[in-house]
Amino acid sequence: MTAASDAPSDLVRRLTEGDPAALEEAFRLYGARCNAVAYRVLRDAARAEDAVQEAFFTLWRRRSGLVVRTAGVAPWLIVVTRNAALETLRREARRAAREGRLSNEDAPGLDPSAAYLAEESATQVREALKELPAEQRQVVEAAYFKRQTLGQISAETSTPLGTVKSRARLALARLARTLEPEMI
Amino acid sequence: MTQHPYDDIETFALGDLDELGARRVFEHADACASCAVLLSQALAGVAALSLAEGERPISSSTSKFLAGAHSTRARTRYGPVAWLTGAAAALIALLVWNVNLRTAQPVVPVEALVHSHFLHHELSGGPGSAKVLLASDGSWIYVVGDGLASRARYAVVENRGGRVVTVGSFDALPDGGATAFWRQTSGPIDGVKLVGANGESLHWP
Repeated sequence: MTAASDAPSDLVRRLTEGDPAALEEAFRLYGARCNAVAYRVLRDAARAEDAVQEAFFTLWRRRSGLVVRTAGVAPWLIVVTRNAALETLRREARRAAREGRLSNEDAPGLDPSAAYLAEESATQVREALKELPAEQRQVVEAAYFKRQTLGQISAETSTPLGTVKSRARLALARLARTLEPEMI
Repeated sequence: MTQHPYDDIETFALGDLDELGARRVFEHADACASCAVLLSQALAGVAALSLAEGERPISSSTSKFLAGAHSTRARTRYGPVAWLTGAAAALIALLVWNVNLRTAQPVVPVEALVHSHFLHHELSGGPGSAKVLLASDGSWIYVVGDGLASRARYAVVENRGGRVVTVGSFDALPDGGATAFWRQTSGPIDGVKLVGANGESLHWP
């Protein structure tokens, strides 16, 4: 990733002050990473870039909110980009269902998380996941890498939904602690 | 302010909420310091997972959209529906921008805002570790535990000016993790203790 010319906190400050150059700086720093996240979900370059645009557009509109200032720009953008990409998939699935097509045939294929995590760039993530208790690891791998809903995970594992949510919460908290310095 | 969406924070971060639910969580957390902190933690966890994605260069046409984004122009390369959406978003952005201008206030450092709403306390003792977040007026308590005794029941007890008050109890998960939240009567809280069924305890101070 390109080195930041500004401290992350300074980038947040400039954004909240409405400095357009800060948005461009955020795009330069995090655009490629957000694009990878969106492409992973959509497997289509144009639609992935649309999701990235949506996220940066939303960042500009929500730049004064507490979440940007608390979370920092990178985590905020990554989640909003991924959510925009997932929402695109959902919209397309609904449209396909209305038109009587089989949405599963149109959806991008899901890669097994094991193969995905074998990539060199995922070493840190793999190590952090290994540190999680098995039940927590199972939830985040299914939710993030296989894009299963928490409800689906609950049904598949015969685990109460509340327990699945608790495991997700604890796993994300641990991952945040383990990998936070890499975020920005 | 709407009810705190504690139950939806991880669901949102993992992309499992529909558009309406996601907007509700975001709008709430953007104005609520305690939820902003909890959501930020979940966002950081998901962002950590995204390290596995690597990077993917963006085309120059997409890069150019920024010039329009912050001047509230609609984005490029879209069909008619997307144009309408973009135009609507731009209109909303313009309205929000105008409202912001009219109500412009100094930006409060988030740390100050957060600490004016609640306090963190690490608990000592064991086994395991735990943290409590307390509303600054004592009106709610949020407990997060890790490495606690598997499936053990813990009572949460507060010290309120020398008076011991039992808040409630929770069961640790099989992996020793736990989260619990209670609303309660406002008032100063001088200490918190988690007491396990087998006598184990974690406490602040």
